[in-house]
Amino acid sequence: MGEAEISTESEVGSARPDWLHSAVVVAIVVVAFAMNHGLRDGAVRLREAATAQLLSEATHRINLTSPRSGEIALTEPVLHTIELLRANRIESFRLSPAMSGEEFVRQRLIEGAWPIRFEESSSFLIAYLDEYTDCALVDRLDFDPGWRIPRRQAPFFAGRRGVQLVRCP
Amino acid sequence: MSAALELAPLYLLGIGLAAAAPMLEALASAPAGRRPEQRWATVAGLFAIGILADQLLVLWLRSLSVALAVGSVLAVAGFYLGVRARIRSKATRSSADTATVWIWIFTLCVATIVFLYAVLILTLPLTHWDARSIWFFQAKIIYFAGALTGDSPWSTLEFAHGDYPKLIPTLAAQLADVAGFWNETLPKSALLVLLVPAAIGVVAFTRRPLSGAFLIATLFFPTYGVLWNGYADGYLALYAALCVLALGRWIDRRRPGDLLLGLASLGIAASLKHEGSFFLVCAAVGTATAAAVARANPSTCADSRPAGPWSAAWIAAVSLAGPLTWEITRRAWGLTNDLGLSGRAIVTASSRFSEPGALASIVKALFQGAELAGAIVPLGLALVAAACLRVRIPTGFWLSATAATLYLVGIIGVYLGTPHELAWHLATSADRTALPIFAIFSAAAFQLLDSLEKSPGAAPIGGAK
Repeated sequence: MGEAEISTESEVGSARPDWLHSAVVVAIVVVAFAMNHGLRDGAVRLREAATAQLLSEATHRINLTSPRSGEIALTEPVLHTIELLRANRIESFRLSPAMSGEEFVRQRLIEGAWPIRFEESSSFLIAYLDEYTDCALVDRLDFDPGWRIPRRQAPFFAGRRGVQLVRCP
Repeated sequence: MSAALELAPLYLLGIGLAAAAPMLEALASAPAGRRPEQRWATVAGLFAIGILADQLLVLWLRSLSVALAVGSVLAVAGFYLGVRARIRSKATRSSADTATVWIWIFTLCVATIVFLYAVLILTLPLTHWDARSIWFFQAKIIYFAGALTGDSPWSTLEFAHGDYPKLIPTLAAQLADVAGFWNETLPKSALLVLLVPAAIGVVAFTRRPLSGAFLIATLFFPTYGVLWNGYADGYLALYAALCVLALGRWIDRRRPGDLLLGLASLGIAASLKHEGSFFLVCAAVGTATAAAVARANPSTCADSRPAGPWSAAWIAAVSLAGPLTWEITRRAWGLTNDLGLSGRAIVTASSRFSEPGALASIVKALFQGAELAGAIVPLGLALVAAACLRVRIPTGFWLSATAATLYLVGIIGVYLGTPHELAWHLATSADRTALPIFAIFSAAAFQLLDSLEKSPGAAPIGGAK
């Protein structure tokens, strides 16, 4: 294939002036931007969010190359409950009815604690301190009133004093 | 920066070269391949098919370390084959590249956009619901098992949706495996691995200032929220748009780089989410429609030596082997989808269809969620303008328009048949599931705008038209 063919593009052009084509394209692009909020704001939001991250002190604490870094993204009661499971070196656990009933708590604990497995048949049970269990206490965690819990997640832990890890027969 | 992330581009490009081996001669010797848009299309296509081939290794070999070892050997072989094809093609090279200034300007713009997204991807830990509970929890399961096996509790942990395609989870698990630990940020770099080839691929279509700016804005800004937070929807939208753009231009020009990018993007879209498999069907129907239009109106012009049918079939096979393998594996492991898209869904859909307001609420949620009017209205205006100004409608437009329309109808059908409460399902997902519809309609609008801008005598600065 010859070089001349490289610049060949088949197109049925019109005899109208170029400025008309460009004006039409500009008008259509303007309409698109006017009708889509994401088009207008996406670039600004991206720039602002990335700049804020680059300047944020928290960013400098995030270490890509350290195991478990970034777990702070979990709500503190969840994070400390997972640490309770790790500290006691257990391999599997299950959740009390109150904890299972809250999808947020249940999912965050199960995926956050992995590879400690969630198993319905496990003898280790995690329950809130105010839940009655007929099992032997292994360890307990008292929630710190100073923990900062995001407003949307606060209702899940309202009135809860802490959690207990118990071993059931 | 982690070594895992630094080595990933070389590894994936090498595997891509090996996977595309039968097409390398055609890619290296195509005269149009020296144009920057074809170079970008080829590089993006090689990266994308490398990602797919890597996933295929994990799906077939199961063990992450074995897949990595085999992949490394393939990557070395791929670079050898690539260099050999490049050297052999030198004899056919004749003149300097016809560089297009706008492509380089847009390359800088897109590089900046990728950098900004990279900052968010690499500095913000996983916080969003589906990212934590689905994609990266699956990755965590694969990482700690050291393999993708049926022994993992895919079906018991229902919220993890174990049946979902495994491209993002396997990539994330591999990155953590190479690093040797799990944390809440490094596995997220799998998103960056997906973003880079998509960005390079998008640049390959930006030859003119206005339409180029439109394409970049429509693909990278409405998807702002879902390109960095660990959701797969933004990437499905990007790769679906890339697929229709690349296959559309391939139908017009028969350049092998476009075919490679189009098929690899199709494979990635089908490997990201279940909707990707449906997009595959839409793209196939769209391609058939565009091919029929091209046959009826043979005004298109191939400006490259087309890839041979066997090499094209090979690339298609590598691209689609991953989604097919996962579908077979998923069925073998007894993993079913929570939407239960079967006979029951059809009954639900038909009853909901007759329910007053249900269809309207779905259409409204989809149109409002992703502001679809922002793509469909410009598309309609561009179509009218093309007709009035007697500008040729590119054949690829029929692919994009058909695929987008079918996809829209299909997503409406999925919502009609959902076993979940409709209002809840729409509220939690419509804005995300409509993104690929927005992206494909935008791609169709771009194809028309590009043709409108490409009026006779208006050559882009510094390059051929």
